[in-house]
Amino acid sequence: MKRFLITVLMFFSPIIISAIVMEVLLRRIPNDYEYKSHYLDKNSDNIDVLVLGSSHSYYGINPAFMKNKAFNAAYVSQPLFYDWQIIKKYDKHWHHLKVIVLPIDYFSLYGKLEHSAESWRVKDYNIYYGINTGNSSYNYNYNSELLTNKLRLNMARIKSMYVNHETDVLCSNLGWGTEYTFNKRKDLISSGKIAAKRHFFTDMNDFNENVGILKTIISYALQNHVKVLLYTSPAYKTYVQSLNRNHLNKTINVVKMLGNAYNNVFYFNWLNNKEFFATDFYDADHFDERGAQKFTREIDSVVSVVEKTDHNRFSPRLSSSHIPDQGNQK
Amino acid sequence: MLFNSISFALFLPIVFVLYWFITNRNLKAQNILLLIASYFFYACWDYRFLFLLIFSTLLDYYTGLKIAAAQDDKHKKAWLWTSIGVNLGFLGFFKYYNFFSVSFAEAVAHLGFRVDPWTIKVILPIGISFYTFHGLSYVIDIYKGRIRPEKSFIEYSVFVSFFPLLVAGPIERATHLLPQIKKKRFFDYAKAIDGLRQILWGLFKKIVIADQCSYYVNVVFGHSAHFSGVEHIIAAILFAFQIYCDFSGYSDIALGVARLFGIELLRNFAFPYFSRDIAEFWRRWHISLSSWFKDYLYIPLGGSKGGMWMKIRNTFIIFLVSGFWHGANWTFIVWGALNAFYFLPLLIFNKNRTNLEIVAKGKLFPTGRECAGIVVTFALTVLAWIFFRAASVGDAVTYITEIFLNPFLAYPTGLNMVLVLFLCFFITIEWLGREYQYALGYPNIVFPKFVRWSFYYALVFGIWYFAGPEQQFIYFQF
Repeated sequence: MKRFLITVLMFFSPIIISAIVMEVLLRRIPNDYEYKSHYLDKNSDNIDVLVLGSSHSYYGINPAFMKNKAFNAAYVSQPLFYDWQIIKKYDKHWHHLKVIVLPIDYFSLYGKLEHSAESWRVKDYNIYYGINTGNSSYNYNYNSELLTNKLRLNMARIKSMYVNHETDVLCSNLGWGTEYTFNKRKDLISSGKIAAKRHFFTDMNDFNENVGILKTIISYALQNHVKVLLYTSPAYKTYVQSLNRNHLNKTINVVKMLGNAYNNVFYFNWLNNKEFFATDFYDADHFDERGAQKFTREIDSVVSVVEKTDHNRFSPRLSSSHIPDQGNQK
Repeated sequence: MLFNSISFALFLPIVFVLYWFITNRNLKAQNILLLIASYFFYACWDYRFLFLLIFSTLLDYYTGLKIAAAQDDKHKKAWLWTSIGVNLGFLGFFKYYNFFSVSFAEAVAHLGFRVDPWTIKVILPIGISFYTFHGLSYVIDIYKGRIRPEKSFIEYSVFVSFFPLLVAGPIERATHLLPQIKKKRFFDYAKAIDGLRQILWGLFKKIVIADQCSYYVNVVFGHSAHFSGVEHIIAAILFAFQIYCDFSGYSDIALGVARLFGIELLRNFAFPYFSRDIAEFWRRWHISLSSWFKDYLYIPLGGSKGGMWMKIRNTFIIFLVSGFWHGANWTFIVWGALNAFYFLPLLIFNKNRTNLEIVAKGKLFPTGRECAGIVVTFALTVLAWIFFRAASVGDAVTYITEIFLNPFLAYPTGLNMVLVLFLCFFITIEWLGREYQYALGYPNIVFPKFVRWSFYYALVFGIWYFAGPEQQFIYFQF
């Protein structure tokens, strides 16, 4: 038995040591999650406008073009659950917070990160934000860089950082995603159809839970005298036309209902907005840097009004101009 | 808990250490540990079905005792049929209820009546087909007087639930496994190392070959209309390797794990794709199931003792039941029937026991005739696998017709060439190791330690390189 154990230990030692070294190296690679977490650790006391949500706001809202001190804490595939966890984590620090900007898009109320193809991102919230949830800590994969990606990708990341000295931080200093530039633009027709298909969740189990989380965010904001600006992101027609009408209407109706029910909630539906053209988009549902600038200015003008407006006296002109006819939505 | 998961990589050493260091002086304690570990292993999937497993174990344990104690054949038979009825009742309910309900409604619809199928949402308890067959073989063997009933409930429960074989076999026999459970086990260095080697080879088959083949197979089978004839054929061949490496990989891991605990399980695969005819293929594929059906169905039906028609009838019954055992779908029944048709000429011309030894024994290369036999047998099994893989019989027929109707030649886009290289490497290793229990099971050939370890590290690297999200084993659904 002793001989067996020694043989096994000798055989597995290099493998275990390599795994530990790789895990350490991977965790030391700076990335967006870590950057945003550090930024919020230091600056959450001074932030006026907090942008949350998925890639639509990550690439779509550049706080550099906002008048208030804003930060974009959104990220690719970031669901409402993690938006709420981020708000909660800095609970004691939102002294200046006036407005939370949160996109509620076609997919926002459906699905769960843990159940999706992007579930590997859960570990990033665990490791870099220090957000441990009951569900995610149950799965050991959610606590390891090494176990959530293929070896090939992990080796490429290590090479990129330690050999080529390239960074994994792909956001601006205010958290806006800088990757989607007009010179890398994708085909708007195919990307629209593919994205609409990818964003269609058939499992309705998580819908109520997500609505519950959204209500929690709103209630929290209400208690802390913070306005919540909910919006549905602009998208190119190839994406919009491929969306399931029932799915979309269900989401929009819920958000409208919340807008009516809570005094601190303002909802804007930009999905069919005609002010954004093909040249503003990187792909059918994301802006490029110029589109992001244009959209941020639009958001900023709305934020300026929202932060000064009492819900009951909210300008109907501003509200209605951004809500397209439901009949045009598919 | 999957064999190819980190949970299992933690679970196994813990049970191993407890088994050999804490409970090693007491056989009963070792068996209790194995039982607790097995129930924990099973409960990790769905603890609710643990009660079904325990109930099934209790039933067969009790009926086994009652059969042995019965004074006359009438009572023996009554207890036997109670056990068979309840066991098959559970299996039928959980596995086949919806199939029968929908098939009945469809059949009635053909007669002009409309009946809504009364389907219910039934979750298939994992491993039910396997542990049910364990229990059935046990009570039938007692009834036939082949074995005496097991008095110790713990030991009997370990026989049914031993975690390496619990969810996907091999389907063990009480005559083979129970004596090992009842006997004091001693640690054997060579066997334990061999067990680890078999686990490593099993993981390689599963993660590097089966899981990687599955990506291309899923794409082509899922959208077959968009692919050329060549791509259809490649996907069907890759599925043949996927299912072989998935299932035999699982069996290798199960056998290797059991060997770490000093227990030898039945061999389940013996290089089936090197078979020269379909009869040889079925002697080498899922051996524990084939031999189960042979012993508990084919022979009781009369086996090959009767005339030719009886042999043909029994052969068809065996293959159809075997197909149906795999799942509640007509695809599996057609798959079974197709294999029966393949078998028929061999049976009629009495050639079904021509190739009993492994091909080219003691030689490096096969003869041209052997080569042709291997290629034809493989082609026939690939054709049958299309039915096994397809979602419906209609889909399988469409898939086959598309081979000829779609443009035939096209470069197989999306096919990972690294996988093709690994597949060639895998076939070479399997060929070189075909005379042993498994491809790396060569106890008599001694390579220098440096060479052996380099080879093992290469396998580990391959596993690590391809490892991604844990994928279920195909046979778990059966």
